[in-house]
Amino acid sequence: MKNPLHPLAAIAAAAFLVSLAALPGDAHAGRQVQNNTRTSVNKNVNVNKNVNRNTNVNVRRDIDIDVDVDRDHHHPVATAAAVVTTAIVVGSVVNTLPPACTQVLVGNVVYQQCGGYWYQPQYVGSSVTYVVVNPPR
Amino acid sequence: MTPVEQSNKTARKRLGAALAAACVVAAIATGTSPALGQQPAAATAAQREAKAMDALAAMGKYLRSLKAFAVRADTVTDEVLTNGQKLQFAGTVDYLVQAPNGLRADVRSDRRQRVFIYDGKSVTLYAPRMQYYGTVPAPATIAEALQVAEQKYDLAVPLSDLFLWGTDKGGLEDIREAAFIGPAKIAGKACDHYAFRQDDVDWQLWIQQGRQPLPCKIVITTTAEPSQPQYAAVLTWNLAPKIDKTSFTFAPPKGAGRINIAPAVAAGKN
Repeated sequence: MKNPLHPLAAIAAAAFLVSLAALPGDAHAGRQVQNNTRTSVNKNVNVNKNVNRNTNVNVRRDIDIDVDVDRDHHHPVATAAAVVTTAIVVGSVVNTLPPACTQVLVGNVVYQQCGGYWYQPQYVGSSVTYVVVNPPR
Repeated sequence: MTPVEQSNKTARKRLGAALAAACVVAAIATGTSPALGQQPAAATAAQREAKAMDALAAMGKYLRSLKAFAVRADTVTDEVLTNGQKLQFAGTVDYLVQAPNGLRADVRSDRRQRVFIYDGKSVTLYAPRMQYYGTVPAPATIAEALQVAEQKYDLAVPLSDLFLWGTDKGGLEDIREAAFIGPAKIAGKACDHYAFRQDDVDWQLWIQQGRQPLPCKIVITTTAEPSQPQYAAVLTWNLAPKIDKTSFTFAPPKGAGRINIAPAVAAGKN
């Protein structure tokens, strides 16, 4: 075939792209946890309770954050879409990694390399978030 | 309608409006302000049943007399989505404790697995599936370490009350209402059911009857949230746990990587 891309195939591919790109975002839209359900009677803030109440301020997190299977998924198409649509700035923080990342240890410090971008995981409370960083090496 | 009748009707209308306004003012004056002013003193004395407060104190004293223990918590946690929908997640927490400075808590739910380890010098939080660990320095006792972890790093160990009751951080003074509800069977054990209220939370506690007043079950209702999500834990105790030198030390498994634990201020801003 001279023309490598049949018109129908192109449409199918486009639809596939759309479905892939839509899935990660739309499937989880609205499934964010707003509250922190208390798991102990006492807040351990004896000094000044009111000052520390802001530790309870809603850190909105995805309901499936930390399922930690995400990084094993390989969706190169979705990655490309994410790169195009999302401004990735060093210092910005995300709740979940883009797909197809590789874990890299530099010394004993862990990074995630996702395409051309590097993320450093951190605990915020007991949740894991990811900070965009400059390449560590 | 004569002019006099008309005038009377208008007057009645005005009177009615004035009365309604007066009622509102009166309601505000009598219903709200004085009641608010008087409530704390009146409520504290009358509504904290001595039987319930004494049982809580006795349980705390008994917990602190234990040099070492292990306890399994079978938990149910409500999570509220931003659209208001409430979801329920089951999980477990396994605690291993050696007073005054060894604590390990393995927290597992469908969504999250964490290991919290305190060795008397530092607190480590490990995520076994992602193999991330973070470590921060901590003071010399379990109660102090839990306080620092929560204040400085927003790291809350579920049911940290188990380690605070019976200490000066037990929070008994925060309780506004306390009541004995009645006897109950929890996982086959004879327990007594109590109910407490304080700022932001209503909570229920079942305490084992007899010479070992251990908590059998705890339910915490977060009343500060409009949808009042609950956390419930049924506890299974082992007062002769196996503890060795490695119980409270964290050795990073092969492939595990270190990450930072962000200070609590940053957590609040996010």
